[in-house]
Amino acid sequence: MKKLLIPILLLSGVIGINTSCNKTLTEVPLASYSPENSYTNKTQFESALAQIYLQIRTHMYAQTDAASNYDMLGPDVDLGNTNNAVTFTSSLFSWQLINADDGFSSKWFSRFYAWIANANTIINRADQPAAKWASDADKNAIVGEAKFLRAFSYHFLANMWGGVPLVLNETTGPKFDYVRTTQDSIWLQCEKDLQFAVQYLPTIDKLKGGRAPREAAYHLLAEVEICRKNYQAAIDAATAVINNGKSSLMTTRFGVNKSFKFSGYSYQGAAVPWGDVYWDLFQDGNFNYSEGNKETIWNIEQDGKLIGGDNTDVNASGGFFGMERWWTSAPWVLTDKNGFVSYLMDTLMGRGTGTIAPSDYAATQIWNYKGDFNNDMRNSQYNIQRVYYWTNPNSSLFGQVMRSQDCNAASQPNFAFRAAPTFKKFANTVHNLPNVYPVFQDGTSKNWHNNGRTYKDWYIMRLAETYLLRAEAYMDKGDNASAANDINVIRSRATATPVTPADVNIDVILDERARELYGEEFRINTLMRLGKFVEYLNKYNGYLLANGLKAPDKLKLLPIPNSQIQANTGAVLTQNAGY
Amino acid sequence: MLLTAYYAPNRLQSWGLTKKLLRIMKITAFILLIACMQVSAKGRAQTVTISVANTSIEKVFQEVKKQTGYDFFYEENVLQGANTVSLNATKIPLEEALRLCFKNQQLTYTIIEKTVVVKKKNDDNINQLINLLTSPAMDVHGKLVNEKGEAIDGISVTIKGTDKTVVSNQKGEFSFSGVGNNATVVFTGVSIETYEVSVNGKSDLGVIALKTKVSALSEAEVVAVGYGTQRKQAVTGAVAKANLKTYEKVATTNILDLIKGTMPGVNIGAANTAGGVPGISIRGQNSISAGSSPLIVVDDVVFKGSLNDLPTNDIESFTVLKDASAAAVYGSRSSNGVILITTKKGKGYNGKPSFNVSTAYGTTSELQRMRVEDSTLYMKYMYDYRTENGLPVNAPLYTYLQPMEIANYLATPEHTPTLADPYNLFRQTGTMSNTTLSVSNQINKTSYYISGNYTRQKGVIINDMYKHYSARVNVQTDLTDWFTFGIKSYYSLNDMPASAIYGATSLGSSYYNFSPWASIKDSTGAYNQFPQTTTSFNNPFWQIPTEAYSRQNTLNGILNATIKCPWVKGLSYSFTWSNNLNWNESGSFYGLQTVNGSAVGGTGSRSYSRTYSYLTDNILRYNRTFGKHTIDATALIENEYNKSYSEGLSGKGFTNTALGTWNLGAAATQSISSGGAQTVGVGYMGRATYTFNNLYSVTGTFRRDGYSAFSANNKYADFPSVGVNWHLSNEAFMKNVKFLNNLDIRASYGSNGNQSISPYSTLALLGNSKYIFAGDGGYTVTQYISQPATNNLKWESVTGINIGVDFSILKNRISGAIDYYDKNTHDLIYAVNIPSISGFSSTLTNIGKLNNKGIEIALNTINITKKDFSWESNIAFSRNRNKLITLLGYDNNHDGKEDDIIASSLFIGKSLGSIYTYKVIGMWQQEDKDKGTIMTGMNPGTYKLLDINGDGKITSDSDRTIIGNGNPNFRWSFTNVFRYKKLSLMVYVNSIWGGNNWYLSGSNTPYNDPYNNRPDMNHPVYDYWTPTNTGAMFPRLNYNSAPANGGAQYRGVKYFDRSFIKLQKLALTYDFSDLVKNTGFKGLNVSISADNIFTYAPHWVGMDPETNNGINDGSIPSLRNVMCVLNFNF
Repeated sequence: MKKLLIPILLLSGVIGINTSCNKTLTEVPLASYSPENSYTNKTQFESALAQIYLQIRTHMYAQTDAASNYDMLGPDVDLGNTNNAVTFTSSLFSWQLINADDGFSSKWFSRFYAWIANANTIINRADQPAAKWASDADKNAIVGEAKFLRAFSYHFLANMWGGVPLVLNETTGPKFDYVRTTQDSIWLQCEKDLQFAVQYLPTIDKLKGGRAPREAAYHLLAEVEICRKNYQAAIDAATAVINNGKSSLMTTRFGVNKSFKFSGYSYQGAAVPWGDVYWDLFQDGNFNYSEGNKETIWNIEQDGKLIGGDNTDVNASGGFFGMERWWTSAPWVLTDKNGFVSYLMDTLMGRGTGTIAPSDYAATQIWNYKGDFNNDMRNSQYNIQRVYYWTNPNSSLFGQVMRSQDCNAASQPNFAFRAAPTFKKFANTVHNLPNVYPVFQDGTSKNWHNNGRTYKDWYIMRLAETYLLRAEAYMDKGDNASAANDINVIRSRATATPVTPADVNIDVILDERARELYGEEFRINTLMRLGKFVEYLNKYNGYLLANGLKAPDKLKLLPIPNSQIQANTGAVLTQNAGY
Repeated sequence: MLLTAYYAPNRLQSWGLTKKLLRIMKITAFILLIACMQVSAKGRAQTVTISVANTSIEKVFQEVKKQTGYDFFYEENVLQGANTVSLNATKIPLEEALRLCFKNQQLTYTIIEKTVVVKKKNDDNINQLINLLTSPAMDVHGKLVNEKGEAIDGISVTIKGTDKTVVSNQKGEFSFSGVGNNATVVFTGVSIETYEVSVNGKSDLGVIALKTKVSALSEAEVVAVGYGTQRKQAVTGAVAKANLKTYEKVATTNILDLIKGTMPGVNIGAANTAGGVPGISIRGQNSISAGSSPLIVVDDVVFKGSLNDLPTNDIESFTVLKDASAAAVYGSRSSNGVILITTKKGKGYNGKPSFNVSTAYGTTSELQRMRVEDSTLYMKYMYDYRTENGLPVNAPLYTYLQPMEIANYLATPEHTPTLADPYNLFRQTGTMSNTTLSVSNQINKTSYYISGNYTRQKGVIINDMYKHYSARVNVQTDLTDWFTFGIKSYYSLNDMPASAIYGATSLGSSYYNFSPWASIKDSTGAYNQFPQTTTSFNNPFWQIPTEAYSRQNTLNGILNATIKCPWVKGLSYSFTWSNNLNWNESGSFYGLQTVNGSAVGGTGSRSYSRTYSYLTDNILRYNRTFGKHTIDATALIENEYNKSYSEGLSGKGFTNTALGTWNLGAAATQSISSGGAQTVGVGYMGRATYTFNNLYSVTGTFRRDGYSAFSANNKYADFPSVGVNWHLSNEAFMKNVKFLNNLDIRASYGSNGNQSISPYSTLALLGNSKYIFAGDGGYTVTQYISQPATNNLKWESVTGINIGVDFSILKNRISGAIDYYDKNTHDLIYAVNIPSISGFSSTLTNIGKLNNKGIEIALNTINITKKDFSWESNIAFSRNRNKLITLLGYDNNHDGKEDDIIASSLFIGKSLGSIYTYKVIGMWQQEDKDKGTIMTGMNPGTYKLLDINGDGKITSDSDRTIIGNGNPNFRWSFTNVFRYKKLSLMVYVNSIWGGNNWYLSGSNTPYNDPYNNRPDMNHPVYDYWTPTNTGAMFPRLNYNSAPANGGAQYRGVKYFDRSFIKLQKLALTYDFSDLVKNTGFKGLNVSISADNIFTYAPHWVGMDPETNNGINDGSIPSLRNVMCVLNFNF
């Protein structure tokens, strides 16, 4: 009996251990939050909004370390050319081959819907019982901001793809039966969302930089109303920004570098005052309303010092603002006829790669308008550098202007690209700022640079564009005089010759946009909205012209990506005509 | 040694026995008879009186018999040639008389009772008998166990030199009565090495541990089957046990190295870094995305460490459960097969501890090195680059070099390269040392095994250093006769080469870009960041961290207890409680002289993670034989729990980088992270085997598993299986088939699961990131729903059959197993694309069906077995084919057939690994261009691609085709062990073969390297096309450029067949045991071995086909080890 007792005791002990260990199989994540407990108060909703701002920054400006990152801004449309010797951008500049598997189309289609999904989650969950609000004002401000961001996403979809599926609710599980709606109902939804947003968003003077103010909603509403052909409504919306009493074009020097002096690109001669007000607009530290910039409406925020300010991992293949790297020229790699390679110097230039060079349209044609090549501030030596100097002190050509014929055989074929005009708005002015962003030392010149990363903020919307939108609306309404006035507000700040009402047409406005908003406006969106995309490609795209190619007419809208059509197994997503 | 002797008929009368009986009686039996019939010993105080001269000895014997009554006993012919006797003696004692008679003879005698046994001097056989019979008789008993301490039955126990034989019973016990106290007991059996024990007057021989037979043909009869063992002949599934003995004395880096190639269907890859553990898979790819690693179970507990943790010497057995029925006991985790490893138990030498020392030392070198262009080829490349790209070459070629190169080029009149072979900067001769010490013993009812291991491995690339420390204690004791208690515990530390030591890109390859005229260091002796001016090439030395470490610790303790339930015979209960703690530490620091650190003022990080797991098993076993019926049943309840924790710190921007990771708090920018996860599993399993008369066995298994990571609606799944074994050779009608020694036929059917799914992957989760707003001075944490819930995701399951035959023929000279399997994977876990209109791009779903079938053959042959020389071979052959039956089930293109997923290379009706691409059919040449037959958009020196639809251009939708498959066609290996006396030689040949467009690889494409077609960086030497080298294997340098620049508009990749035969291992072992016997050593072996000796790969170009390293930018060399191991025990 004693023998039996012990095993029985042991057995019951063991079973005891086991039952107490028998944990439930229900999962509760330890290190991730759940949606159920994460949309309950204002701070959490603001976090959710911040995610959309982050996505906009990442997708539009910092996703990859490649020229293609900036494709919405038009470098491969009418504003830029790419260096043919560099093959890794070959997926661009091939508009003649556009098809339903196109990477540009599927990339942006998915991105815009990803923003929409996040906005929908906010809008839906703000109304759920779990969300506790101190006041309706708090809630409306959040929902208004989400609706603005949703409209911002949808307006791209409507302009570039037409009547895409309209999704207004959070997606809680896989769905395979999306169907398309009309382009106008998307615009209509944008209008509705924006009309809500303009009621509840705070004005720009009340907001910290990076968030969209009420002015941004009006600005976007102006564009949407033009699309909906409600020209007066567009004029009213734009006017609400222009006459808000808080915003104005900057006309005098301001900000961090207003007293900047520079001794010249050749580093020879005495330092002289440098820059003009247009140049000031693009200095790091001058982008925010709070930094004295009355012209800004909405911009992204970047800061090389701050976590979340951008990716400062030097090996990262993206996550930082690299316009200087991809969109400025690279004269520093040229070798002179005696074999002396030019030095990388901190000549307001940085370490560009010369991957994207301005097209002939952007470099020359637009500046010859009204003989203003030398008058237009935006084409000043501060804003577009067209002359480069040999910087290697060992070279007999040191300090002299670079010319193709002075290059050695290896450099000569690349001269046009390496020494193409540089829009200085992309470049940092001072590069050796190790406390501001990662710096790198050049092997030969021992000069410091930031490898093309600038960490400056960048405009999504600027008041200059609001004027041009209103000008467009006036023109569409038949009021060319008012249109000319608005255009001339921009031109007079740039000390350019005014246009007359008779001059005003859509091409003049598009040219003015190219001059004023080069590298800022979403050029593809603008051209597609206006039905000018195919025309401009065939007129100005360097690659198509050089190779005798034509962009097809079907390109008036982008294709619905094949991957979407195929994945949508429960219903038919019709393709745009021609694909 | 049984001796048969016949007696001369004319002696018969003198023995007083019948003629007939004697004629056939064996001498042993006869003597025993005598011995047994004598009741007691009588004195020999008799005297004789003899007076003879030159008389035959036979006559003297007769006289003595007459006077004394003593019989004389001798074998026929013994007395032939005996000397005559002359003797004159009166009343001398008998023994004195005999002494005088035998004085000048080659004969001697012994008196047993009243018989004088006459024999030739030094006749051992007779001596044995005499020993036996002259010593007092006694009863002897003992117990036989195997190395694991398990009782072994069916062993023949024989008293040496006699017919006396008994067989050990199920408890391993045996007993004799009436055995001489000097007797030697001999143990023989099919599965054990013959072993002898001297009785030495002891009645209780105690527990005798017998060695399992080394010979491959006689595998141990008992095999591990998961949650217990089974007699081999009752096993119904495909269970293979590795033959570890063959390699016991041979140096290995880890257990996988040891069993590689020896078990068909168990596929082991190659590792080429220090501390690397090769990949392992069993029977093909069963899953598209849920992983193909088998479940590893060590000492009955799911293993959470790295196979590096287990020193080879600690491993007692290695068993692989390959089919559904065998693996079904592990249910939800077993679809990729199960590996069962048991570690050693204590055993000693007759009660004394056994010490074992195994120490190996060796060197490691590259199997082959990548050849980088030397100065001549580099300049030729420059010329070819420029001409092909249409660039002028009118200036001296060197002027096109980079400034730093030009300076170095001009520095000497001979233009001596500054760098003859850049690889030399990074290589080192690897060394490897590995020592395991162990002591073990079995004292009464307690056994212990204690071991320690230290391994140090230095790879062939600088900084590649791996160290391993481990210690193990296994103790087991029978507290009472019904309660056994044991602990198995180990600690292991893997001090890994942190992957960061290779820099941002693998060091093994980035050296390829060094120009012959690079300036590695500047005038101050510091490394130049850009050694040849171009900023596209960072000096690899600038990518090596200032500090880097990675340490993986494992502490494991398994406690188990077995209770034999005394009230039901055959019933036992056992309980296992395993605790496992893994903790990993890693960190790195990049100082100012590194790419990572220079730009940000130094950057460093440390991370720490740990995982605690426990598992409890409650097992009831019932094993009993009733006459011809045997029942073996197991029931299990299992609980498993895992919790992981992780923490990370990082900082960048140091005013002083001297302290590295030791003071990350000094960084200007700091960040921390933490995380963790928890999983819970529960399992219920029942298994019953019924065996009839050792002829038929039927096994049924059922397992129900629950796992927390599965979706809310599918937490549980069931995995049943059934199998039969027909022990055909035991059938009466097979008894006449003389050449057949053993034949079993097995068949099984069952299903297994795959739970390779991360915790929380079916839940809706929130993601977080960081953004800044102006004026905040810090960041805002963002949030978003990163994945939607998938409430219906369930287990991927594999269901299939296995049919196998085990056979042994020609006196066990040829034995082996053949298995065929056919299985389907259902509910494949696959990330299905969903319209991203939802905001998400894919979701995990169960879809499709994948079929795998294959055949495996294992063959062991004893080709020669002579006294001094033997040759045994082991051949393993396996072949697997898989086929995707269905996947998404869509027919979007309305062709009536299910659509393939081309982007993922998944084709309905085809094998996974199908290569769908353009087919390279040649090279365009200048004459094609001249004749105008060249395809538009192509240039001379670009690949000619097959234009399938003949439309004169290459389009992705109509000109791609399945050109072959990346999987092997079949694998085979051939292991030979030659033994000559104490010397043995192992020769191991391993092969993976393609052919017929199998086993193709496209990684052998130097023209796809990112820096191809650039003259500012160096390249591996390869055979590229030029106008004068038109027969080149690879296209022109600028193949990837636009057609206008000389490249191709349509590009393809040339695939190469990886088929190879490798002389994988040669090992020469000498057994010095006999030489050192007297010095107290039990055994001493020395072995010298070499790995990766020679590769025959007729179609491959470049480095090692086995590791798929060709001649492209990422290729790293494979390793060749030469090792010497000294193994001794005492």
